[in-house]
Amino acid sequence: MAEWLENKERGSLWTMRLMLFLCRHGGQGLVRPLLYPIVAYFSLTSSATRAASLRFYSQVRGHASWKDFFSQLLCFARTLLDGIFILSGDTDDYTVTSHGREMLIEEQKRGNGMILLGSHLGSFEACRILVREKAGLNVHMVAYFGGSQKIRSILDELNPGLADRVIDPTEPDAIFRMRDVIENGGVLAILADRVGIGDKKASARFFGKQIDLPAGPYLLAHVLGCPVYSFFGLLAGKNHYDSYVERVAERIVLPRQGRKQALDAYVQNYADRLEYYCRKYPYNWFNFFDYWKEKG
Amino acid sequence: MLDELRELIINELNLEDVSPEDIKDDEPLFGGGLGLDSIDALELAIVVERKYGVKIKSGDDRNVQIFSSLAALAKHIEENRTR
Repeated sequence: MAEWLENKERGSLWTMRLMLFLCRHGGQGLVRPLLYPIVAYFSLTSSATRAASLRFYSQVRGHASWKDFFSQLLCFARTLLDGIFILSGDTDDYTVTSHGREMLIEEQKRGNGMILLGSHLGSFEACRILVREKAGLNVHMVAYFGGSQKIRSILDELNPGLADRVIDPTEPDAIFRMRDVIENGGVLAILADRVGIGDKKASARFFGKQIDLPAGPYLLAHVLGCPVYSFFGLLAGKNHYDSYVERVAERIVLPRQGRKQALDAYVQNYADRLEYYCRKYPYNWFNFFDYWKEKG
Repeated sequence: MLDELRELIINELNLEDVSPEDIKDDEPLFGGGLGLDSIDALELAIVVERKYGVKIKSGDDRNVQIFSSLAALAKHIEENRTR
């Protein structure tokens, strides 16, 4: 159950701080070459993660090899590093090809709050480049801190005020803070590809097999009567991201009769888009656990 | 007030399998036996605001207390209602 929640991040806070220090004082030129030995080390030593990775690429493409795992880890490491640089305000070195962003800007102009579905395919930081440089969107993000004040302090170190724009769903007041973001015409970003403990879920087919996806974002949009968009920010080359915004629904309609079917339909629609972008950008897949495990 | 709220909860939250007697005065409304979660709490808060003019604000330390039971919610509404 919710394997990803139990999986401790391998990089401890200490190594995060070390990386931060190297990034700050060494810059990209020093840190980038370090990625190769680090990724090679992890690709050789993380057998459970490797098994999950190979399972994923077998399901997606019918075959998988160690090279796929290495490429996936390298892509992940790059986006992490980019995230550090971008969050620190170092955005000049990055380029983004953006599709559909104007829909969000248009909604914001009209004063409409909205829910933005994110995923662990690609990097949300790519979105922050757009936000900062072009759109001026007011984005709040729902993310687990696991009660860790340390993560909060690291986020604040990277980008003052950032932690205040992250809402931990386990905090008692979280749902009302989410409401406030929408009522104030902001963007509420929620990761829509992993089910947390106690989350309501719906089921969909993903690469031909059943998975559970969170139903919460759609229920929330239904209750608040706000539009829903999806966002994918995908690493497409050195310091370059492709970003895609798509409209999921102007309004989420969940009739009293047949609510489950309606939810499944919304979730299936999202699973289809996730699958589409997975095929296009397979190494941006950052769910490092057996994605189909729970449904077998 | 208590019975009015019971009916409101069942109707607005679409609880087909719950009868009014299942909602006890002093038991937790959310995260308890009724199987209601925070999104249900939000939905109820929106209905309460519309019907009684009582807004549940974020950052209010009383929120946990307000939603701790049907009786606590009823008390809060009685004390703050504008309609």
